[in-house]
Amino acid sequence: MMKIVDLFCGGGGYAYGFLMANPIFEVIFAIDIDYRAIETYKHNIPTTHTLIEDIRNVHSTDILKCTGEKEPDVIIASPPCESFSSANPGRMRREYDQLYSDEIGRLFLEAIRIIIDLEPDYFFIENVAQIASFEMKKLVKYEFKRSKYKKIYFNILRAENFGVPSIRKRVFVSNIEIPQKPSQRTSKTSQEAFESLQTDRFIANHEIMPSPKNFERKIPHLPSGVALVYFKGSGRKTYRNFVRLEKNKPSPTVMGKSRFIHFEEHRICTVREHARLMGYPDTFEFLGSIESQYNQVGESVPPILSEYIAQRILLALNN
Amino acid sequence: MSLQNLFMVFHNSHSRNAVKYFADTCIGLGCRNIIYSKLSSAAASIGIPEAQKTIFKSGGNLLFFSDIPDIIEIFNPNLIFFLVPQKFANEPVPYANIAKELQHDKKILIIIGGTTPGVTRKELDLGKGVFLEEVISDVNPITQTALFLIGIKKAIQENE
Repeated sequence: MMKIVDLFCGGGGYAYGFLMANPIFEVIFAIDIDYRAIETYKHNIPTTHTLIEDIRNVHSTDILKCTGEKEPDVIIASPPCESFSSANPGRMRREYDQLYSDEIGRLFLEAIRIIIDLEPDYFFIENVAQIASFEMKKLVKYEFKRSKYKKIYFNILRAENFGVPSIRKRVFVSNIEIPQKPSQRTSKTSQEAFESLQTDRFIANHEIMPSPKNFERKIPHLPSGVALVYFKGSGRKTYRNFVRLEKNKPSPTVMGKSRFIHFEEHRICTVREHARLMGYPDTFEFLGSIESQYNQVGESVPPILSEYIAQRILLALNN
Repeated sequence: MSLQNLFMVFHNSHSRNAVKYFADTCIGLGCRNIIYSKLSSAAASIGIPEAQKTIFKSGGNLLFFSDIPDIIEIFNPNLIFFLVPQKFANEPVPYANIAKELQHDKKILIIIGGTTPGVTRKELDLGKGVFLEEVISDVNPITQTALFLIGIKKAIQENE
């Protein structure tokens, strides 16, 4: 068995992809500060020992106590990305400050601390593409300088190339190289993602929520690909929310706070529709408040991506 | 007998105040050899200059390293102790032994983690983890420093 420790585990999408890939993978421990996300995790991966705790208070020996002194073979981590994300208007200017001075940004260092201490054979830290900037790469490599990992790779993967029906560019910091899949001429579209949702059978997390009052009258007139909300991100970039999906295209990046308007119906997409856009199977159920469910979906790693990573590990093992 | 061969190390912090308070505590309780390692952010850019002023004014010594192995390489200490919470150590601080070793001019490094949960497992392998017997639940690193220095001074007086 390949034992996995899951840091900043969220609802469990990251780990779920490993379990989808091969039964050789077993998640022995998962930690997150959000109790609602842990509820979802326990519901979908019930065999894992979960802990609701601030990772800053957790020592690697605490993790080993929880795993019955079993050392992990793989550590996966998905620390918060808002400190590095260009969508955050409050992002600190210098990369050094984003990583060392920002309290949330420092959580990335906590993941590195535990990885260096537990020394798994493979590790994968997921975050936004800004982590692969020239300066940030230097800082992250410096943190690994005294560890057993002599080569650190910043693998950029585009989820849409793996059959995920939404645009998502993410970096997986790892000790192994993960080749990017070539760009597909036709990515999966929103319409394809929502196929078979309009049936009489019960589908979890597919309750239609009322639209915000101030948007009710605007939604029927909203053309495809246009948004109801525009906001400034870091620098001069403008970001959008409440975007009407284009049925023949993949959706824009799904984030925790993202809400989309259905491409045909005049309503906000359900949590299940968001989950479909992230490539989740319908068997994966989200628990907690509706807001938390949207957040759990948008903050997660598409299971299809982590399934691919798991396959790369198996390939590396076979070689 | 003095604490001239005792080196107090404050490791891994981002808090400028913690760096300053560590210097104040060490100087105030008679230890003049102060080392910082793996400081980042405001701890390095503001904390160190502030601590330096306090330390130099009182005739102390300040050194600043990027990590613990560098300190060991430069100082080649005879004994290295990590002050850690009780759950990470098997033994309490051996005050009498430390006092005896100091009496024989042995160099002793006492390392205190600047953040919770302190030092890592790999770092602990570089020395010996010891805990403060008088502490019931976790206290901050500055309090640990103060308690240790009070304890070692008592032990030295008893030895004399």
